[in-house]
Amino acid sequence: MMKAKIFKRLYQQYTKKFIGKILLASLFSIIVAISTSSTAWLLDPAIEKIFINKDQTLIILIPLAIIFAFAAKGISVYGKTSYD
Amino acid sequence: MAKLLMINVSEEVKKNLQTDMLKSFIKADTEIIESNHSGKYISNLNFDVNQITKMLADAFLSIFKDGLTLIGLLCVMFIQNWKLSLIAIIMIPLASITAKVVGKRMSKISTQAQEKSGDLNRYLIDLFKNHKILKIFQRENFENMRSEKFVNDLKEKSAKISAVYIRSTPVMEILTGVMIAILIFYSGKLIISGELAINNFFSFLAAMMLAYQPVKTLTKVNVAIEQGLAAANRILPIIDISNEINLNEDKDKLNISEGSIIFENVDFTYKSNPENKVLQNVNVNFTGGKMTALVGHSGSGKSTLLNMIPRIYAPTDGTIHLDDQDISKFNLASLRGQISIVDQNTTLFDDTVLNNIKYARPEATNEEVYKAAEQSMCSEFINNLENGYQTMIGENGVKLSGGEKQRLSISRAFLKKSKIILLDEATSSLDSETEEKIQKALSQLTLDKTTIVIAHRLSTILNSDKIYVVDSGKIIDSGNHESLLLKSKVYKNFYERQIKEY
Repeated sequence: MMKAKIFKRLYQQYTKKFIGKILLASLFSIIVAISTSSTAWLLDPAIEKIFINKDQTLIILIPLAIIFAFAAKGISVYGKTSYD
Repeated sequence: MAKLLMINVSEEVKKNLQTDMLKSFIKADTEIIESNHSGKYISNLNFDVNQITKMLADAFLSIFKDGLTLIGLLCVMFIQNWKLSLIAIIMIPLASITAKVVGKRMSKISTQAQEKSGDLNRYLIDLFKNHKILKIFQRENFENMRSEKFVNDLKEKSAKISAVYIRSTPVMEILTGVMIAILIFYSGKLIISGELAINNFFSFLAAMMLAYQPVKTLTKVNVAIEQGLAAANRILPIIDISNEINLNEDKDKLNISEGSIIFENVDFTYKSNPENKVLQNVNVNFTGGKMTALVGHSGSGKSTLLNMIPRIYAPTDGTIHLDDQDISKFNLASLRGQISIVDQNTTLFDDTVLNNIKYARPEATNEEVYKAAEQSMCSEFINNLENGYQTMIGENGVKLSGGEKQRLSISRAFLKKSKIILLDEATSSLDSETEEKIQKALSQLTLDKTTIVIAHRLSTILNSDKIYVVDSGKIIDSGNHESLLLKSKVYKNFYERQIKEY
């Protein structure tokens, strides 16, 4: 049997009915992707503003943003795993 | 709660696949089921279904999640420094080539492992079935060696799967090491020349490190998909098994009055062995309400002939008529509803005595079951059982004697009240008291019914209204006992052997 045919059959006959849960899991996956990328991206202002420019206002804000990004990732992975 | 839902989805897919397979097994033609060892099917039902569930539940979502994460991280990397990013992404296609090679190899080994798992299942079924024989022939050492071989073969394939899987790891690790070395060298040059700020470099490095995990997962996803596809390729044809013997649900019901059965020029060959004609040009006439005996050596085709009446097997050529109606053109349920089989290998289920008898007619009342048991001379031994009709009888009635099992089988036929009785007499001799009980029960059961019996006992042959002599798939003679003694050498031979035995 052709691979494409097998995929189509497995999707239509066995997986399609759970599409709602799969879409929800996909939504969590998007949150995981965004939060993972943002943790890396946040290092740029963190080093520039805190370590190089020694900006006092961002010394609390950036670590908080990093905590938020990691928390979002953690919760979404759990949610994503739950809906796989 | 969310975790529970995930388990629920993957288990639902698994359940649906297994249900479809079991439905397919139940409805399949007996010939198809007999053509493969049950161990192979058991392995398909467990091992292969798990592989597909793993592919659907884990692999596809991984592609989505890790794919998106990778894209996000690549964006961060390019924003920070596109030159460094270009160097980093060169390594990604290299990693995916490794994954593809591993995936293909894994699919091949996974198929071999599944076959070995099937062999082990097959061996286990034989081992349990033939446990007594192995003790009597003292083949423990031989079986120990054989079992070790089966387990070892499976172990080797499983070890190979792990080895192929792990083999991809050093390749990936070396690629990562080379990539980091090149990046440090190049980024050092960029920082020194003032083209790259330190904050951009750290952000880039973090994104690249975080991308390592999704890339690693994505390379392994390919393996799970290949394994799942190989398993689906084995399972879906089983789900799609089509019946050659049509149920004819939309056709008219058979109208049975006398219950006379006529075979016209019937041929039969098994599809697995088309060269060997099991039945050849069989023409027989089983008179309604009478007992007809089939006599012949073992392997002459008597059982096949008997099994063609309820259409367990369909003729390769020729027709079978029941009260002048071609049985292949009528509703199959209406045919089987009028037939009872009392087989020499009584099939019982690991359930209560009551449910085993009721299997013939689930809607029967308990009173009807008790009556059937009474008629088949079962009630005495049933009442002596620990819990009477509620006693669990063990796998295939292991707690009952041969004679008791046979009488339970007769009670099923009594309960079904069908017009046609197919009887395959037990070849093993029972003690005279049990024999007498069974004969009494049978003569009551077959009274005024169309009875076709594969006869081994002399008394049955003498009680029959007509006898057909079967030899090498052909009907070579017919008549009553006296006339056959005069004209049929095969019959005379058979008769003389029976006299010696009894």
